[in-house]
Amino acid sequence: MIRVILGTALASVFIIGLGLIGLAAGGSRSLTAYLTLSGLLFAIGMFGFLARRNAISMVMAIELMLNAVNLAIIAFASFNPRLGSAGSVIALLVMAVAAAEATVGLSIILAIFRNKKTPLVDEYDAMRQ
Amino acid sequence: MFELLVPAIIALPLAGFLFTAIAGRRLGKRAHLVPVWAVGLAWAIGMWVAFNALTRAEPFGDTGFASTIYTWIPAGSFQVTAGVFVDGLTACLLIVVLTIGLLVHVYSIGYMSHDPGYWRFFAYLNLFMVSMLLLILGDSFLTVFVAWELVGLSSYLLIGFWKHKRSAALAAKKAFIVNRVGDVGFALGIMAVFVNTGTLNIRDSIHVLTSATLAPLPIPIWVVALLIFAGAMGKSAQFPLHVWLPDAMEGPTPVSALIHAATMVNAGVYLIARTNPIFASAPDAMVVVAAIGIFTAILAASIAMTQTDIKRVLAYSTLSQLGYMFASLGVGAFTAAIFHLMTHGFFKGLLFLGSGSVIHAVHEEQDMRKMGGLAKKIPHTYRTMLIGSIAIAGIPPLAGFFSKDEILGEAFKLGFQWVWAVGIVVALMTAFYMFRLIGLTFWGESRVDPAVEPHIHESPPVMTTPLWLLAIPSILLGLVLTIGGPPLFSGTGLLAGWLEPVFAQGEELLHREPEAFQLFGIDGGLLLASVAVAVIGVLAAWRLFGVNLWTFRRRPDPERVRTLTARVPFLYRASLNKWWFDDLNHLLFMVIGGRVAAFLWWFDRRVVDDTVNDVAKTTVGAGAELRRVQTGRVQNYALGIALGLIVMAGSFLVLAAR
Amino acid sequence: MPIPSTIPILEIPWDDVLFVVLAGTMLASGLAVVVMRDIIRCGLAMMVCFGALAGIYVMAGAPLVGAAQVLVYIGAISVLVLFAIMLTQTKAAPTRLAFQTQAIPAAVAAIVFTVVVLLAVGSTTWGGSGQRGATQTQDVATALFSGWVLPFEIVGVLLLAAVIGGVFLAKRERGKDVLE
Repeated sequence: MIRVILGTALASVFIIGLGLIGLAAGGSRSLTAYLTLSGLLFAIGMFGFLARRNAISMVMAIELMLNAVNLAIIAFASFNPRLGSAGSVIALLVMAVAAAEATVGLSIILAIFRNKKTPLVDEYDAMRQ
Repeated sequence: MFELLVPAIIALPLAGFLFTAIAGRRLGKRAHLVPVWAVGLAWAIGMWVAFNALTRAEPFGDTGFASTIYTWIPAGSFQVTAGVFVDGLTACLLIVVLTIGLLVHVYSIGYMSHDPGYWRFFAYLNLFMVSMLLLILGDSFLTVFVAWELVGLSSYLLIGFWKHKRSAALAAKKAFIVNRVGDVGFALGIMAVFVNTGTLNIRDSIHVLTSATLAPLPIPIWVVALLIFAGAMGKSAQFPLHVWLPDAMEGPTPVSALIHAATMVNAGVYLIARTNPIFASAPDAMVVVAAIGIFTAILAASIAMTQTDIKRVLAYSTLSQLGYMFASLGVGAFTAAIFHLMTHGFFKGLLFLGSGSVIHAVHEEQDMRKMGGLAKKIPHTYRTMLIGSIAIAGIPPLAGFFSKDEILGEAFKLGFQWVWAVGIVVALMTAFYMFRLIGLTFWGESRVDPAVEPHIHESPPVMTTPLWLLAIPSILLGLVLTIGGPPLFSGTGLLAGWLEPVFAQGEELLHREPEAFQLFGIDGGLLLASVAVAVIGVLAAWRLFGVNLWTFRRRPDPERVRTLTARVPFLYRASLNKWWFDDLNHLLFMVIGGRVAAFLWWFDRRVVDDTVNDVAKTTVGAGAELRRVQTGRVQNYALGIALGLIVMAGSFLVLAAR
Repeated sequence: MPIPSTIPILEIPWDDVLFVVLAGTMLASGLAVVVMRDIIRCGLAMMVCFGALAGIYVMAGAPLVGAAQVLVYIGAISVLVLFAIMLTQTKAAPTRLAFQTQAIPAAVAAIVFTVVVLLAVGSTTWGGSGQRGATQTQDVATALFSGWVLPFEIVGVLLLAAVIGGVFLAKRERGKDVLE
């Protein structure tokens, strides 16, 4: 319990701090803020992918990473008028691909789950040397 | 005709060896027929060839007869031919080798008759004859070297003939190894000859070596001479490679007679005589030869005086006489050396075969302390051995006197007085120990084992006939070979005439001029000194060990022997222990060498092998460690990807910032 | 009284406030997705995250993408994930350990990555901010069916393949029913 409170406090401090920095950088009118946001989200997703034991958690983290990239594309398109509507188109295509990938990934996890009886990736070490 | 006859001398014993080796076992008691007949035929042909060579008939002429049998190694500029060369020196050696070889073969029919390996013995004997004949007939250094090794092999096979006897096997091994040491020197010498001259033919290379007086040779000629002498030292058992010859007495007595008295050990003498111009061009090398020769002589004679095994006494006597021959070669008296080679071959062969007969009579007992009083019981053996002993002691007019005194006389007159002095002492010791042997064996009270005594019998005629046949040249050869010239003078005489073209170049290089013989001058004095010394030695032996000869009768005096030996305890012990040379060799090579070898083995195992093994272990270990990266889990791999990504991005950032 | 364009005392434009709120929500819920123990709660947090993200898309001038985000991500993918969670639940859940043993190196790597990205982003001079008008749907549609028609078709085929593959992979074996 105390860990939860401590973690939450730490996280909120962290986020508020970042918020202030983002504001200082120029708020919603600066590309830097959007990109920073994108990088942070990507890092969060990376951490989740590398650190969680459940396979589905890993898929969720992958989705986070894909969204972060999407955000970056949209941000660039927003601040660069020459790109015009290409940014939106690319983001839409990325979204579609992410959907396809999530589908297939989850199907695979279901299939493995049927074999291994566990969703924990610790157990998926048949390729171990 | 001689192109066929001369190779036939070698081919006949070779055929005998092959036949007996393949079919001998089945022939049982008749296995000797083919080998003995082969050697007999070879003897006949050899005598005919020798006769023609010594009388300078065609095609021998003055320089000898060379015939190439076939081209052995045709390799561009390196050509080696296998061929034969016969001149006066070859003829003398042929006489000795073939005669004694044939007589030993005949003797062995009787001596080895009870041995289960009868056929094997004759096969080996024939193999030995092939090797020895090839050695003396060969015309190229390579042929001689091959024959050299073959002779060593035959010696090994024959010394270790009774292979179940551990001492015999060890003695054979020792002989082969010590020979090998000398052979290394010989091989180096042959290589030196080739480097210097580009040819391995003996006559051609000598010609090149001695005529290259202006340009210095790549390898100095004294080095070549000493290397060749090293080979002779091994084969002819000179100090320090003498240790194998006494142990070689483990072989059957005919083997000792043939190989270690009359033929193989003469190979060294023959080699130096054949290459005498090389030695004559290097006077310092000749001094070395003389020194080692005479030192061996006195060393061996001193040991022979206390040995109790009858064959050991004869073995050390052989060493001593070989020392004489090398001393003679060293001072430049080449003809005298060959003279002594021939006479020694006959009377030493006689003595060995006689001792074999004695051993046979007392049922394989070789210790002289268990003999005595055998004169009446084995008369033929006794008489022939007595003749041999008188010959070797140097009592005129038997053969030994002429040859030995020629050596000593030449030594003195050519300025090597120290060689003469040592040689005179050796002559005294020779006479002494030979008559000690006769006294202990044949005279005095019988100390034979009582169980054996009633069964003492003379050897069968097949064994005593060769003894008498050898006794004849022991008596007459000296006189015969000096016909036409005075004794103690190598410039004239029958043998000198025969060998003159062989040694002419050598003598010329040494700047010898023939001097007249002065019977009442220096030559007579030397003659008297030799005879006196021999007589003193004989009388001393009679005083201590008894005599029972014609009018001389005296009892042996063991008390006096004991008091005398008590007065010189160190010398007696030194002589009895062979001057501790075997122990020295044991210490140097077995103990220290063993430690070095053990250290090297440790080094090879721990340092060399382990280094390689550690490399392998490191690789395997590294592989095992690296294997832990492959966990099979995707997340671990993904972390690796993430780390790589960070590193790349970071470094790009750093680089871009510059 | 009309709403002032900036917060009175702090002089912060409302846009920025909205931006900060949405960003905070997004980050907080993103953290919740990767940190919380109960997977279903993670899934729900993911939906919240996507929602905030949609808002940010709209703020960045891409309303179509924002709408698609809501439709696709929240409406389809999150539901799919929740279905998958429910299908792979075991009796042993919830496990005691949510994180791997390599969680700490992963955290370190994430932090270092963040730093690198921040450095890269901060040290680059981006081009002018310029006008930021919202991208019209009409333009997106035109682009999608003219210049970008090939990727569009390929993505269509990809989706088809994904659907077929997903159905095939997740099919239950005949006679082997291992669902507890």
